[in-house]
Amino acid sequence: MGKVFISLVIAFIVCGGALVYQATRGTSSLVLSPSEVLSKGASRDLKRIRVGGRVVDPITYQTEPQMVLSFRVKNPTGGEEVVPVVYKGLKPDMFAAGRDVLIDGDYMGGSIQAAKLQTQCPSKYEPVVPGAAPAEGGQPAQMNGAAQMIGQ
Amino acid sequence: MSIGIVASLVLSLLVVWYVLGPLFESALPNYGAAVQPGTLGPLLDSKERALRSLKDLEMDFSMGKLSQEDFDQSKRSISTEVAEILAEIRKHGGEA
Amino acid sequence: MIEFGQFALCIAWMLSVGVVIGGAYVGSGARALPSRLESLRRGTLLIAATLGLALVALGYAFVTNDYTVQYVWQYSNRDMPWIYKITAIWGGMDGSMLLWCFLVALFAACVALRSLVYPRALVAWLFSFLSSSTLFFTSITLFLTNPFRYLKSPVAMPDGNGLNPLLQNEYMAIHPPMLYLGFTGLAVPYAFCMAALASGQMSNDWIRLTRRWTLIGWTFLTAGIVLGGHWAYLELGWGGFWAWDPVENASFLPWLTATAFLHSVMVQERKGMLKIWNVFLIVLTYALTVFGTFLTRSGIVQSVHAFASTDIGWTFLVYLSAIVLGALGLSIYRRAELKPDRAIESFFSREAVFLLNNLVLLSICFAVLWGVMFPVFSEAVTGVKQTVGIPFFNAVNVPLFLALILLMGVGPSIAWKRSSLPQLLRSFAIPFLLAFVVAVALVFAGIVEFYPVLAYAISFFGLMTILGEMNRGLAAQKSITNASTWSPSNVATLWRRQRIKYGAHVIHFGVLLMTVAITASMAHKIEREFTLGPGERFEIGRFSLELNEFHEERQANYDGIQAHVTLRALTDEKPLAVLAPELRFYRKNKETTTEVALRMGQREDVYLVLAGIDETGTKASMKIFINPLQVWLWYGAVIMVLGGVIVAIPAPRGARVRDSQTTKVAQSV
Repeated sequence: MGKVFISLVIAFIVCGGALVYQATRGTSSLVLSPSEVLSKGASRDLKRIRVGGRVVDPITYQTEPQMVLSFRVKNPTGGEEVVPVVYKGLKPDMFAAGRDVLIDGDYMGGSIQAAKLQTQCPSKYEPVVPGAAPAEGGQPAQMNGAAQMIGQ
Repeated sequence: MSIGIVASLVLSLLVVWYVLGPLFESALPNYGAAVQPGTLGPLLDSKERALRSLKDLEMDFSMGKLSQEDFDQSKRSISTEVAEILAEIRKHGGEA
Repeated sequence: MIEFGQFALCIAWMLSVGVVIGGAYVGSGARALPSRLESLRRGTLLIAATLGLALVALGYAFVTNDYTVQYVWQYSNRDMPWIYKITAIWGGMDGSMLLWCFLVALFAACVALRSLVYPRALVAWLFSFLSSSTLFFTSITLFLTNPFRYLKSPVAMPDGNGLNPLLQNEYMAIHPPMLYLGFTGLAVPYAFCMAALASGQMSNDWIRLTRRWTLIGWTFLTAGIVLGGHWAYLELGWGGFWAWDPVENASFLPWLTATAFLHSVMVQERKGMLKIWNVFLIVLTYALTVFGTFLTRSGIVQSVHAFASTDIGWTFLVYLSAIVLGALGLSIYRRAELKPDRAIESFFSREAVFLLNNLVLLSICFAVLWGVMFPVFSEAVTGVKQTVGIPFFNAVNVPLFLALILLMGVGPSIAWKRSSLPQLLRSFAIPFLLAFVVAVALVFAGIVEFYPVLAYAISFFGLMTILGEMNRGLAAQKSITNASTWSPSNVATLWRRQRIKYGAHVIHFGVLLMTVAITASMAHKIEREFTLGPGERFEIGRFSLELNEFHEERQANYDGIQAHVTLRALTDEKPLAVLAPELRFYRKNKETTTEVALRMGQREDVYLVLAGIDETGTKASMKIFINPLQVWLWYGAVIMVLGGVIVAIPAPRGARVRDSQTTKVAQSV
């Protein structure tokens, strides 16, 4: 393929690799469940974590003087340990008890200070058993599909 | 229920008739390009590519993307190539 | 009706099996008799027809509220407007897979309709590989995610479960189908490539045909991705359009490789180089569309869209391995035909720039893939699960994209084969100087951040090279047409004569507009939260907002409350607009959603979200985004798609004749 080709490819792999490595180191965050947050965060603060959890009551949402949403999360798979979360910002669409949320932020002083909060659509693509008791939060699996394609 | 079954039966018969029909027919559309046999196909391709290069070269030159010197050199090398390919095609009995 | 749908799906599946096997049989030695090819062709057409019938049957079940069907019960209810009952067909996994099947088959049928002029030895394999794609998705639909299953319920259900309110939106009617058309369209170049490898018909024909079909898929994919961004922007209320979510990334990955292929294929067409590379790109593109489906349906990565793990993931992995191994095997088998005719002669040639462009695009693709899969990798390697978010994607992709835009300016203005450095300096001196002047002007105007200034300057450079290129083209043509350089007739003649080239310029121009808009909305966005009582005012940027009143409304499927807010320019008492952000409560799903109020403008968008109303019912909390130049992003996208259409439409007959005359002239040289 000739020298031009080879040298271009090699230069690129080196530069691209360095860029990706640098960006990964500088921005990656730990993925933890609420119970892991409690066990790992018992003795120290945790910087840059992402927590997937299920929202539990009580939820408080004040809009004045600043929007602050406080709630607690537990493991979506079960367990009773709960972690308090404070999010200063707009309550996302479809936020409710029983919903699964993704939280990005820091764990400090016994609560997660969320920088970003996203609601997940629960039970998507899961089989439904009609007539069965509604899932927690009163939502059987009507959340759907192609929300996947709404970007965000 | 029964309408569904009837419709399904009709559909399957139509499908079988339409798909397998041609196998028992003679007058059928002939598929286009039968491909040049052996080495001739690739040679004709090369000819096409070389002529295209020549066209690109002249276009690039007319738009001032090339110096006279680069143009002359490239034109010489492509012309030589075209001549070689044409000779090769004649050798293999093709029409150049 | 629902049994009929199931039956049609079965027929489609059997036909696919038949065409895959039959095509391989005819292609691999049996004589390619016209009767056999015609039978295969008709089979391919009928697969699309029967899948279409299956889709109609499912749609009929939705429209007639047939809640004996589980899928219909799950994704619709009686109160939904009929249009959303139709769009609910692809509201969930099962139906979206059926739509996917139909669209792959539809593309295969389009190829079949045009196949009479294709090389005979290629065609049988072509049908076989096209139908292999249909067969895979039809198998999934039929055996794993069948939408025609009855609801297992002891009693008849009076009403359905209802569609996610976020999907009860007109974009639901167009965005998913458009995206799927993009994905499935890219199965066609894959089939061409594999058919060429399998049959050994590696002439220029297949690569030329593939290019057009890739462009069609690419154009749909572009439209689909941007429509998704537009929908997110209007509906989700966070003021942005792209969040580097795994699902978005899944659609972006094949777009990147397809774009790379569209450039490198030009090198192969002219120089007989990069043959293996192109095979690699096509197969990778198709594999990435399948991988995207896998990603969004298997639950291996955490996303906002919460993909519940389904058990169909493994089938996609098996199919992906088959695609890769099949392509690898055939490439090794045909390695002699895949040898390049020559090497790249010079760094200063268009070939080299296209190669660079390919490397940048693949680097972006790799970086995005890395970001998406990082949780999986990190857990496998270190045992600790880690993830990366928007900052990672921006940090990596901003410099790479700027490099790409720069190359986009350079590429079209550099000669094929070889040029020289002094020549290049001469070609690019003026655009470069002008871009530099723009950068300096921006700094003096107060925009001092590095990346935004660079992005604007590079975009301007790109624009200047496009105009310069057109200017040179017009000047060179002037001697033939005797018209003045920039006269409309001269421009029209040039565009007609070199439609593909200028179509590409149109696409590039769209990209430049989008670059400017994205830069502006990333760098100069303003966002604020505030609370207003009746008659109170809030000032932001060059605007003021005043709360007038609340307005309640009751619709069939939701209750809404709107805050009516008057928007004014600071300098003028005259209202510019009354914005009405809304909170909605969907009774059936017990969901609260926000409806954004948006005033689009050439200079900026005013984007207002109602966050809540206090207990006394008099004060509204709101969030506002001022997104500068946002609207140009959508204009840019429209222009890109338009350019795609210009390039993709077949040349008129006259042009072809002229082309062959030029060839004759050239032969006499």
